[in-house]
Amino acid sequence: MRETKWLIAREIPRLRRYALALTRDPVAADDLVQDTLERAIRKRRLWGGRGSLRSWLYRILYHVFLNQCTRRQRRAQEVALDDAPDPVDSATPEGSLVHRDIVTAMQDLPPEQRAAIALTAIEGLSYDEAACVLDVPVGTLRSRLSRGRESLRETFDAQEPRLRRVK
Amino acid sequence: MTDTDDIHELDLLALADGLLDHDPARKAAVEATIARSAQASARLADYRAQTAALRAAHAGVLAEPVPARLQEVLDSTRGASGPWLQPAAAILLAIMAGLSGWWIGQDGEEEIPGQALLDESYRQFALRGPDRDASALMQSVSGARRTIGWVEQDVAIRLSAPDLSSEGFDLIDKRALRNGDDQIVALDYVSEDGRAFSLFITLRRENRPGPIIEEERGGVVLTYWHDGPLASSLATRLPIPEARRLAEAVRHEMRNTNTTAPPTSLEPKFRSPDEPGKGIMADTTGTAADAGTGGVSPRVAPIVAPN
Repeated sequence: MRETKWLIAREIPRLRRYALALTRDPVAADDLVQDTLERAIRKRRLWGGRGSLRSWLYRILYHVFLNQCTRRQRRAQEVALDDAPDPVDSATPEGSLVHRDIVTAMQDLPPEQRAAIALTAIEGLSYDEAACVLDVPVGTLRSRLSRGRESLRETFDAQEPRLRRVK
Repeated sequence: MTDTDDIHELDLLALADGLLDHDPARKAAVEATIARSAQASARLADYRAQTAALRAAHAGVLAEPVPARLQEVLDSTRGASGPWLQPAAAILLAIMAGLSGWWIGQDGEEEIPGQALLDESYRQFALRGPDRDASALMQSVSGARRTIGWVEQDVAIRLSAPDLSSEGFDLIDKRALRNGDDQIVALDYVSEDGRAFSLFITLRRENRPGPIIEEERGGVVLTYWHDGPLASSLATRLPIPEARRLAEAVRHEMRNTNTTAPPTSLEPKFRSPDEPGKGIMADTTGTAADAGTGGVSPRVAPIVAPN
């Protein structure tokens, strides 16, 4: 038990980085990591020393993240129309000229594409490992990567990372 | 040799992410191909810029001190306080004599269905799959009738070996495996024409069925499904379509023969393995001697009458 905790503790910085890539918000990211750690401790027998602990923790984190997304969506649907914010008029300068740094651009991606890119580009997992973490076939992972990266090409400008006109 | 047609967008991604660094030949081929295309070069440059920006944007997190609240999650959990260690959730696997059936049990919830079973199935099949030594196979046929039994703690259900003679397969061996705390039954089947597969079964908590999923590792096709209280995987070197067909046949057979008869009668009459009931064997791999460790009285719950 003590050894498992020690091993898990070593992974916290990477879990925080992955969570930050998924959520963008540092506080939300730490909430996500906290939920992940609690779950990992509770379910640690499922790991049982087999395979990569890091991948297992990434998997848990991703599942917790998806659950949170689902809950958030449900809450959003329950917001009364009167309470909903006014839609942004994309014809105004404020609407058409937006910050497009890489972190913001990532947040515009669907969660599954964001997770695929974070695992491979930031966390350095192979495609096989990332597919395993996300519980999808490698072909699906590749498809998500391809679509996500292409979307980033349209929204992220490396030469002008802070400001870019959205078409 | 790699020609242009072999280079795909994903090679660009892999190159940008450094995933081709371990394969210099492929990396050089991809780079050479990309260098001949302005469009591909631009795309690669964009991907590399994305990767660099992503890494730079998230680099600081690794150097930050771990917030106290996260460390406290680990510090606050006591070793033996979790429900996962409570005696009532302890483990047992008992395999019945001959082909009449066996009992299998396990505690723990299933968070990530099947991965551990798939991993262990692949490892076991690669180590000692039934197709490794045909001559040994035939000699081990009697092994199928050998009693394998071990009794530890709680039994949850009882099941029987799927009869796949209609598919041309005979059971030639069965064995009990330990994988950490997990306990798995491995069944080896072969056909007269030399086809072979191994079936691995373990217990799970959830009852909802799931589809058959497949994956291939190192020339081994693995299929996984869960159905009722059992999770099963099938490992073989047969082609994927045949592996899938076999998996469907196994699942069908396990359903049709009421291989398990669990939850309805899961009001077990516990009895001690020290007083093994009719048909429970105590040969073997046996960890019956370990059953009483931790002050937990091992218990066995016969659920179904032998076939």
